Amino acid sequence: MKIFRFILAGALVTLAQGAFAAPTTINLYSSGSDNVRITWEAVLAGFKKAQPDVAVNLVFLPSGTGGATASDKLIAATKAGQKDIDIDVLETEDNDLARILKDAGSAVLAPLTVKEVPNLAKVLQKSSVAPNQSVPFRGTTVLLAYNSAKVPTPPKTADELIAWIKAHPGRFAYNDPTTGGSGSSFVVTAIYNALPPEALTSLDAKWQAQWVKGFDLLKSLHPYFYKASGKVQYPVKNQGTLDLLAAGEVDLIPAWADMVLDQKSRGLLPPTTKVTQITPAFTGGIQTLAVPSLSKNKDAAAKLLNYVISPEGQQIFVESQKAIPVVATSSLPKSTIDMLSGLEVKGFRLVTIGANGDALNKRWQADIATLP
Amino acid sequence: MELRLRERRKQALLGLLLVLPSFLVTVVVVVFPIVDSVFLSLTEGDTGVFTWGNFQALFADPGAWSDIAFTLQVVGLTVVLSLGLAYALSYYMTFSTSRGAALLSQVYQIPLFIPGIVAVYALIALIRDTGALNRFVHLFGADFKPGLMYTGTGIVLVNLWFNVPFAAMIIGATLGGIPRSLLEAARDVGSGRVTIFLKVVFPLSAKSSLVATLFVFMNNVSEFTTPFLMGSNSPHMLGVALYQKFAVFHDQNGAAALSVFLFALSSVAGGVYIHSMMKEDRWRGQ
Repeated sequence: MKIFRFILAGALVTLAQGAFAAPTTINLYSSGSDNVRITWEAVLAGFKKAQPDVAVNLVFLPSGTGGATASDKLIAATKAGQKDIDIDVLETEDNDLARILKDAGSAVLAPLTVKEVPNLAKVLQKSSVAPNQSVPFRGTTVLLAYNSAKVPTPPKTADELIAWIKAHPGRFAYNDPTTGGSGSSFVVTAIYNALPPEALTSLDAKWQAQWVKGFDLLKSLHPYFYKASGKVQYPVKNQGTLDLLAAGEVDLIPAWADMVLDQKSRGLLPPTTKVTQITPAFTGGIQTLAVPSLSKNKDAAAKLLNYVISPEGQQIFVESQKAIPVVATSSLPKSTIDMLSGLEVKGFRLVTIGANGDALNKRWQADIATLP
Repeated sequence: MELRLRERRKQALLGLLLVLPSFLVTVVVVVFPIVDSVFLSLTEGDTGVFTWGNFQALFADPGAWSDIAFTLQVVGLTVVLSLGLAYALSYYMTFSTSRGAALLSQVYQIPLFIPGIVAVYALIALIRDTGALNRFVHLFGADFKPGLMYTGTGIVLVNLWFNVPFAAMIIGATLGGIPRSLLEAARDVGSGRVTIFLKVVFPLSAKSSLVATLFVFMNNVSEFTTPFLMGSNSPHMLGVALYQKFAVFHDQNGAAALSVFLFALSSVAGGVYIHSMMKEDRWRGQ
């Protein structure tokens, strides 16, 4: 009897599946801090309502869990001559894209243009490495976070910032650039402000010869930075400088916009915390999505991409992650845009320096970290 | 006779069979990565050609030397202080009949049960210049800044939190195993406290102290969490320098060279440990 029922149930399930076309399942590879995962889950819940015929499986690799990222997997699969891959969409940024295209060839990523993803027509940003093979979907930038009770008029330019640091010894900190992007952005900005603009999106090693001026600036500012136990200390990780700001040990720091706004909204930073951008701006980045040519579900993947950059999708990124949208702010509700506290959306300064970044970190460790 | 021999051979085979799984696991998760690291450390990144270059580059870097010196200094201090404190602690817990000793032996292992990263953050919150200690002293109108963050001393202090109970556990087990009759016999022939310690207690516990020393050394020489969160930007302890080499500078082969060096440091301690164990076995065999 039991067996019979079991077979009947099986038959019914099979019938039901035939009646309603089974959704195509695609794999989305992402990685980062936990807020990235939470935001993706919210976006995918929205996508499920909008497109019930595509199911998305989120493969999330928390940062710091090993070198086996989705880009490494894609590069390895291509080099091994595999005929298919279980990555349908992968989250990248320009340095990843540069590495993928260099190591696996430019045909490894499927073309993504207005033809495949119609909403791309409304996207304001473009990847500088793979403009026709990737979809920018959120931006983030480093800016100055400050304690408005102590700093009534924050610096507006890089020169004013330098003057402020010298006038307020011990009240500014940037984190060790080898441990977090906001400190790294401070270093890159200080060095590349002295170079022609095209250097910031160039992988060419020739620019290293011109770093001297920026490093001299960093050396001359060194004695004015935050001190602990009697010597200058660059805190570890992006959170390190934010903790100092929260504890009132410093008044001004470079920080990721999304981290500051999110932590302020949750009461982890005091209400007197404010953000501002200087000119020339600190560097930032755009996150992009790409589709491997080996994917068997390119149409379904394109549907996801189209949703992610639609006004509904963008609204979720802004609200959940305080990300900077890639579409015109006029297409989003005003209450959503207000969450960004007047963050300048156009003043994005993209940085793609590839392996120069590693060399820069090495040189910082050798020249700046060792200063007494 | 013949039968007994076959029986023994069978048993030996069974023994080998029983250790085989753990042996295989060791090969896969320990031996293979070591061989792989050695191989990586002796090849050039882009070409895969044999080279001594990674080691030459490592030892030509003044930063690496100051990292090595700093690491040995921190680990050396940690070993000496942990052992001294742990010995005193376990001596007190074993030979004192006071209520304090009884209470202490109930609670001294607690630090070992607190996850490392939690303990490090808790200690940082306590000792940082604007931490709990500072605020407590503020109540009495003084401004006390411990000045321990981002210093070697701070790292040693946090290391003690983990290593004193650990070493005390090893030494305490041996001290507890010394027959009281031996001590009483020594006392009966007129030995004083100091003589008993020097002639009886210390010789009997010297070996477990050596074992504790080696384990504390090996645990700390490659430590990461504490120096990463509490260390200065430079010099780094070797665990942090290693992490930076592979995860930040993406220098796989250089990182492999450093890890082989770190492995060599640890295996000196490991060698001493195995040597002392073998000596004991020979003694027992006689």
